[in-house]
Amino acid sequence: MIEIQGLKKSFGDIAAVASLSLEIPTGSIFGLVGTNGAGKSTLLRMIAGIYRPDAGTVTIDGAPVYENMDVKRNMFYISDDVYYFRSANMEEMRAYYKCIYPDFSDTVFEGLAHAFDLDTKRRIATFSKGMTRQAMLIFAFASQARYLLLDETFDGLDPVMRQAVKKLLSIGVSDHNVTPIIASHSLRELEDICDRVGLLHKGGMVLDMDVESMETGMHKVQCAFAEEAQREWFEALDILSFENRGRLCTMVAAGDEKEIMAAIEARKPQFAERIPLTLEELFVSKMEGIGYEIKDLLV
Amino acid sequence: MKSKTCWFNGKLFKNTLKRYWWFGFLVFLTSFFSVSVHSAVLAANAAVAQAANPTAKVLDNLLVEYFTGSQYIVTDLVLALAFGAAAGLVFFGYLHNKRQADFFHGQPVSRETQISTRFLTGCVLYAAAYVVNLLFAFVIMLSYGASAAVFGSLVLRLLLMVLAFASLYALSILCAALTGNPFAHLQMGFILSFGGTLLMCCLEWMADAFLQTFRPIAVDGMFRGSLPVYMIWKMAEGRFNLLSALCVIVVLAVVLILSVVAYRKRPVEFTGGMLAFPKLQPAFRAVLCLLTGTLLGAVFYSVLESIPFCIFGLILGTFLGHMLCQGQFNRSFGGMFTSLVPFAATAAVLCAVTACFMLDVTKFDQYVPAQSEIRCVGMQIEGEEPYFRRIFDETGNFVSSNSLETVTFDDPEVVGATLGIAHAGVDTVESRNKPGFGAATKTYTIRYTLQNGKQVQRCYEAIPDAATAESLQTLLCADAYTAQNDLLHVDISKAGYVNVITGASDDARTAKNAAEKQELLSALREDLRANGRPIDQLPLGRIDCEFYATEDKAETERYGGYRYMDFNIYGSYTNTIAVLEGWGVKAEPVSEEAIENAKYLYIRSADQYENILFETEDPAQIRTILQSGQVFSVSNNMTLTEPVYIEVLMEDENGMSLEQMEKQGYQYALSSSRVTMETKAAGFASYQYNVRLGGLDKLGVVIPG
Repeated sequence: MIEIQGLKKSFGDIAAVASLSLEIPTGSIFGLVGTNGAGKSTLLRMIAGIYRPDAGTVTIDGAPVYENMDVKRNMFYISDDVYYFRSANMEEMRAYYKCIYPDFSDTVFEGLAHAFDLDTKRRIATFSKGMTRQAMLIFAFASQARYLLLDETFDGLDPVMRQAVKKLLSIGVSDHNVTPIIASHSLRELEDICDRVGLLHKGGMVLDMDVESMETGMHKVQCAFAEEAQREWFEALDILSFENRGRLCTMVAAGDEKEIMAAIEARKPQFAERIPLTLEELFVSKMEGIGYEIKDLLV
Repeated sequence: MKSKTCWFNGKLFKNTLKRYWWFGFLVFLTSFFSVSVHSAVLAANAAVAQAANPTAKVLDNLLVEYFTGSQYIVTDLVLALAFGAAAGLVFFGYLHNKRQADFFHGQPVSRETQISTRFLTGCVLYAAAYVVNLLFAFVIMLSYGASAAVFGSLVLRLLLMVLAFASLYALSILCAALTGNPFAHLQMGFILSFGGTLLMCCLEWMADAFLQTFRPIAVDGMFRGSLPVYMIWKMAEGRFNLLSALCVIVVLAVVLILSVVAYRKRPVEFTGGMLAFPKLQPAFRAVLCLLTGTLLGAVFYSVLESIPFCIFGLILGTFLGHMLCQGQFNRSFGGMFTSLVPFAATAAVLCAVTACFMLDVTKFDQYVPAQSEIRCVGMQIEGEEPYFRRIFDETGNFVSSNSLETVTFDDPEVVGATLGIAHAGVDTVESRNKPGFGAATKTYTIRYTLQNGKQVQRCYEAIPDAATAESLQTLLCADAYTAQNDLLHVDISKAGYVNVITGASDDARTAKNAAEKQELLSALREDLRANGRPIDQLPLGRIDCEFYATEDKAETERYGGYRYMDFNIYGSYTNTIAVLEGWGVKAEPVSEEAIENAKYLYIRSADQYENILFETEDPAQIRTILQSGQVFSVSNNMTLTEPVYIEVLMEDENGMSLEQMEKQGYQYALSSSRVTMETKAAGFASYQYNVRLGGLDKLGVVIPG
């Protein structure tokens, strides 16, 4: 488990991370969301042991991270701006990583390189942005590290590759108890992958919730009436959001699904259909419930 | 639980060696030309010389000299230092790049391991590349026929170069740890390498410019503040010994420890900025501003010698240094003009320090220690060799010393006399601005060694008044002073050169071998003991001797320690004359006909520094001077009412002007009771003797109204 207590980090007068506390259980996929400058990368760097916190603690399985090699051997950090040795190919980078990750697996490396169809003897500098990120993910998985810190990793990946990586992460979590922490500015990018999501804003954690529990008790329904629907028709429901586009009405309501559908059916809609909630809608709903104007916070 | 610090990773070390192979190749390529090719050229030339002289060990001597001699080491040393400085940028340049810094610090490699691995990698690559070329050089020389006796020197040279490389490499690592970008790294390297020395130079410049009596004691002392300059200077002079190596090793160890500490504490987030530790900014800015301010102040002062201009230069230079720092700290053009308070404070401090020098707040120029504080003194008189020669005519000895350190005296009479000159010099400092002040003064450099071992040096410009002359007379004629230089005490076997000149002979006669030197100088010593130096006789000739301070002539030539002695030959020196006659050398006096004219230069009085020149070609006056000098009259009826200084100069056969003679130091008799003459007769070099006149009032010289 990653435990963060009262973490602070400032750069001059700017508080990048302000008294943040967080727990990330092992074996879950944690998404760290926030706009640019929210403090995601700073938080990840402190977890990775690159930055020393000004205050607070970061521990992994009870051990502090900063300059602790035993802990760091179980961690692999991929920066948003990936670095590799100039003129090196994947084989040379592999040789380097094998020096510092004693459990580095050649089998995993070769298997993933084959699966991603990457030429390991080709210079990484000739890779595209997406290919470079794939290469770094291969190193991450091959290192056998239990904690993967991925900063804007999905940026630059095509949808097919994105799905492949998501699948890989899921396998890693389920089979190897890997705990990925993925930072992104886009909730849509983290769709379908994260078990838990934290929303960072101006250095503080605004929301940190389990996705499944967020989904429970919240339903999104799209329905059409003969005339424009009115929010007052459904006073008995706990409506979180209500939107009309002509006669098409989309609402998100908390509560029992059957009760919600019954209330809608009572108004004799031309059609009514439950549709899945996106992570963004879940957040917006939650945040509006708390009182945050969250539209400005999310891309 | 935090893991124990791991200082080394063997696999990472090998991987790093492979990744930086190109650095080793660069070193190999450079030393290929500086060592292998160079040695091949030298060996080829030496082989030619060897072939011409088969018995001489030309090649073997070259081999020894090549691996141990300073002239062949300095180039490699400079290259080693340069590579060491560059290695810091190469191996630790990641500290100046955010991407790389994140990459390396996010890995399970401790900072200690990073330093040790990269430091060792650099040293191993350098050593491997250099030793290959050393071996090439050795084999090349062997192939030309040199013997293999000096293989040990090859190892010694390798160790020296690796030490030089490692010391600058460690310093460069420290710079990388303290700074955030390569440009800042170079500035920090410059400050750490030369900042101390430059600041001392700045202080010395101020002292030299504004303090009348200041002269630096030892220039080489400043170099010890700069590790690279210290190493080059020591090796160039062939004085890099075990102690020097130990000093460098200690400095290397200290710098490495500081590097590790700095790197451990280095915050990664300041990568890309100017300094990795913002708290260093005030100190960095202060040092840079002091250097730029003093430099510009010195330049402006040297152009116009105007104090307001100097102050302007100080302030402007400080401001430029401040702008340079602030621009880098804030990383913007507008940022150059921020934080003006520290600039004002630095400029104020610099101006205040300069003002202290200008006003001599510490009374530096007034300092004369009490005699009880002094352990011993040494003194030099600038441009005074001819003067010494004149004075020493009385005793027959003259010594040219290479430095104040080799001639010191602790005799109380000598010390007291020196203090007399010092007090006169202090008084002169206050008179400097009086009209007419100038050529009438003499420059005396006195070094006091105090009872507590401290050395204090002052350089006085003293008016040669009666008191000064009296002190000088005491000093130079004191037994203590002359005892060190007297032929009666010196070891004759150390005579390197003995030459005899007489008025009758156009050719000088040089002692051919040690036996002749011994014979002549032993005879002269007997004559000196018996007769002293008769001052009322005209000399018949002169013996010039050169003594080496040590047995080794080469060492003497390198470090100094010559002692020159000139002895006049008088008619009463019967032993000496007998030896010379045995050699076929005839001793005869200077003839009156050889003298063309006489020039008189005198100073009216101690308060008026005006030089007045009179000239005579009257053979009668010249004869009077030559014969005894007791009575002397001048055709223009000058009468001296108080002691002044008179010099009588002869124009030499080449028509050398008075000015030229002045430049050669023929001016300035410093005694109120002497007239100094120079004659240049056929076959003679410039030749001087004193004629004691017994008091100027007997000269009958009248000062015109």
